[in-house]
Amino acid sequence: MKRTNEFLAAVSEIPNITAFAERIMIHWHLDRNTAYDVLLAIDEACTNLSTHAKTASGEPIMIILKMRKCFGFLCIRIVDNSIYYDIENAPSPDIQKNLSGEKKGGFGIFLIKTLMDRVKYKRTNNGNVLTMVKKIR
Amino acid sequence: MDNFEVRKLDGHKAIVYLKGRLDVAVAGEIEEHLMELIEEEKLRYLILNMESVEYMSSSGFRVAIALLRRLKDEGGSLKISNLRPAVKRIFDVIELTTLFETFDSEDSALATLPD
Repeated sequence: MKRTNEFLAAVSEIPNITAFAERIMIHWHLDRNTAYDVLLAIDEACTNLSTHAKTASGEPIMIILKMRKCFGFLCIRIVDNSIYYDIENAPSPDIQKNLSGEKKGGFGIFLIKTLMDRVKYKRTNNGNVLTMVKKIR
Repeated sequence: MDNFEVRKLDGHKAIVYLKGRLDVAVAGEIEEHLMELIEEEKLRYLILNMESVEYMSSSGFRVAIALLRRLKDEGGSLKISNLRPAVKRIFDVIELTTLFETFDSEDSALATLPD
């Protein structure tokens, strides 16, 4: 089964990205809660890229999603060619400011950090690499 | 839209039955339709019945917050009922259960609405 795939960073592609990840996790017989958490983390990371990220020269942003399983952990790697975004220092969402309309969102990165066991971000010459690790029950 | 159905009730109230997977690909359209419905039908009280929502990303949460803000501005309220355990778990993670009134059943949510 294919465990790496490339997608255009676009809102309309999110269902295809999560469907790809879901097929792999069904194949691996992951428990429901673990699969849900991983799916949501992938969704949030790719949604952020699709709605906020930019490239320096305006070319389309491409996402490479790679999933692998080793030693009781699921490792998800998301590589993209956008300009720098600082996921590690993103502020936590403020629910009251969301309710007042003063600030919208901020939940995506918070969910990624909360639901995954380890999140690592690395800037490369060509873009960004986000690695998320989830312990498999 | 395939992702929701609406049952209008008397007295500026309605129940919205959300369905399927609520992600960024559908959230914007759902929000737009429901905001139009609130405007056109002069709705003040909404119940979101989420029995058929199998998956919800933060884009879906943002829609719920936008609806809550709008209805509060109009002097009304938003209730959420029938959350599936998987979705409720994420509500709890973001601590949205402190923001929304959630109910196990549609009837118990209905019972809290004014006559």
